[in-house]
Amino acid sequence: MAQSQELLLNQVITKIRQSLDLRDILATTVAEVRRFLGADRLLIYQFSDQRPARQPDLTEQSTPVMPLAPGDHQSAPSVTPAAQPPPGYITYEALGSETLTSVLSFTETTCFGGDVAHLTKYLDGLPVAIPDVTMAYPDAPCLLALLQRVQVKAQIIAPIVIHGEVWGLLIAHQCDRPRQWKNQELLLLRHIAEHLGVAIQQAQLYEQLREQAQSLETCVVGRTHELQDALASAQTANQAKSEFLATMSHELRTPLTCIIGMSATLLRWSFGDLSARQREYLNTIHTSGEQLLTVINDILEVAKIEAGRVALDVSEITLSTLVRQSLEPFRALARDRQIELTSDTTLLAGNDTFSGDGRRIKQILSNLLSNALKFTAPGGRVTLRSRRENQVAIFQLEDTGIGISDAQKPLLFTKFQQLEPSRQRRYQGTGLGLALTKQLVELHGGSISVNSREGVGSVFTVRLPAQRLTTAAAAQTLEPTTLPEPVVGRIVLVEDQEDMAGLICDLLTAAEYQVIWVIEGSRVVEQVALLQPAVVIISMGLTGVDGYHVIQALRDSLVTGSVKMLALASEKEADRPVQGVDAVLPYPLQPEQLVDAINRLTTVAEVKVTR
Amino acid sequence: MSPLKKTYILKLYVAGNTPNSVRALQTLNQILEQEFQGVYALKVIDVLKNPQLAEEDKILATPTLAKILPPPVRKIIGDLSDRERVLIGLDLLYEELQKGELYK
Repeated sequence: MAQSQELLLNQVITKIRQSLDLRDILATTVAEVRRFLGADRLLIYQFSDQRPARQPDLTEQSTPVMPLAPGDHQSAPSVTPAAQPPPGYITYEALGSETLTSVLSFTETTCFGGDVAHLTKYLDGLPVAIPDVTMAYPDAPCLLALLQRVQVKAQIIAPIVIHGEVWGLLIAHQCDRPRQWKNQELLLLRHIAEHLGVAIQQAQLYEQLREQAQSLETCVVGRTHELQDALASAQTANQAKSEFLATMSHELRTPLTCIIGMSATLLRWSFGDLSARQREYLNTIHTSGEQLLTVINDILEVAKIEAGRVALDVSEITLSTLVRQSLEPFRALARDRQIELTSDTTLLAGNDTFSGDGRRIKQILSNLLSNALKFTAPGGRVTLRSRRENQVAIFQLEDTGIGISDAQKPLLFTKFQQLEPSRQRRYQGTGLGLALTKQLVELHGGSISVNSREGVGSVFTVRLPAQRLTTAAAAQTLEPTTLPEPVVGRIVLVEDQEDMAGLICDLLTAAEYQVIWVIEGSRVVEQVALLQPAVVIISMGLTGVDGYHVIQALRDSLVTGSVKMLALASEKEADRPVQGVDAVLPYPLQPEQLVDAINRLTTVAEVKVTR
Repeated sequence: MSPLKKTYILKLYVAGNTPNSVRALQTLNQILEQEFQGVYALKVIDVLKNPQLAEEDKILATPTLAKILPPPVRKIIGDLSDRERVLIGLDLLYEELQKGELYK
């Protein structure tokens, strides 16, 4: 007996270890144990949930219940004991013979009345043996009647305790007779119940783990979707920003170009007619317009670099020339502010040729110079030192300015950050200068650093590695005799009306085009062939030369045949349509129309060049 | 911010289609392209076609390159083959000039 009991226990334990399917474990165990005991019925009664058996006084108030039968949850919960949901259900059953009544769907609420206080007596895990139900429950006629209704004569009740709570009961029924249960049988049931407790606990943990894993997975999927959405919307937003900036640049620059260009024209024309004050106002309009244009260009440059649409235009450059060209525009300013501006390029001697994007390196130096001058008081010094360490060009800009505190240094190269609070600003600027400088330096794969003491001055150091020459640039340096690529943005203007030409020159130079104004049209084809402009603007009202013939001649020439042409036609020529040109603008000239038309033509030209 | 870009206004006086005049335009074109990346307006004047303009500006020989803006006005006479002279005339060799003076 003891041996076979051991065997059964081992079977159960093995089953528990091998299977994670709790239902399988419970069903098998119930059947095996019933057979072993020779009992008529073996059940597992499971309480509806983890009843707080430790605090039985609370259970009556509100106990969440998971009904087994689908109909159950339709009955509205009520406070009357009769309508109380059952404290639990019989979830597993093994029967000794087919004639026995199944109690599987048996629910009983009235006898216990939801009162589970009696459960506390099971907490010690000890099984209760009832040899004869009629003897055991004389005081509980309801329960007795219930047991008799399903023919129970004797039973053992072994609690399944998990975490100090009674999870359920393992119950053996004897239906044909009262039965004196043996101690061994009680012990067996107790062990089985303990092992089932472990199995159930494991299953619960496993289930928890699975749920967590699942919810984690759901979380990950959700997050991924969110991230994808966020990325998509960020990309859309970024694209919208780029488009917006492109549009803005056009919308802002065209009118601004007219302000700058026409104020320049007025300043030149009306020299004698203007009072000093009028002249000063016009000058302010002109200068302010130019400042505004510079700011807009800087913002666009930053946006372009951020959008990754900027590629270095690498060519062979001469460092000392570049330094000189960068310094030149600041000399007047330094003189005016009585700042000593010096440059030391002696260390570059003999090692002057470098490969990089000259325009952008100049921009870097200009930004730093402008910054140094801005924050240096009259009487101060600004020094630009240039040297070379193998393949790295090093520029060091030292000033005796206000300096930067350690706390401010991290903000220095941040976009739109100014070290002065805006309310007490003494120094102008958008706060883009150094951020743009840093971007430009990084575009070269270089680094920028600052060393500064407040009240003493600052030293900015820029290190730029030499860039690989693109094959086209290399070829160009090998054969200096080849004609240079036409500069995009160079315009030849053929116009003999001084006033009109002056205005057009001012407008186009304000829009940063280079203009070569040819006063008379007799040698336009040769000149255009020589100058290789992006666009030729030609007046149809030239004296002495027929504009139509000039256009035809330009088109017929192999060298100038594909040049963009813009004709300026007065009403006189309206009845004679201009052919062979890319655009026609009428007199009187609308400045914005002109700037727009030229922008359009040069953009097309640029696209052609890049292809 | 970056300094305001100066717009250069230049005038080149040529006489017809003489080799000297063509060479002057060619040379100036190269200088402007390679050394000078700023904004400029170059006015090309043929003194044979517009003698009155040459007279107004007191041009005695061709080719002549005049820098009108930024001040001061400078004139460079000759076919511009001396690049350095042209650059100094355009204020592009300002620093060297100053240094040279200092070290003399």
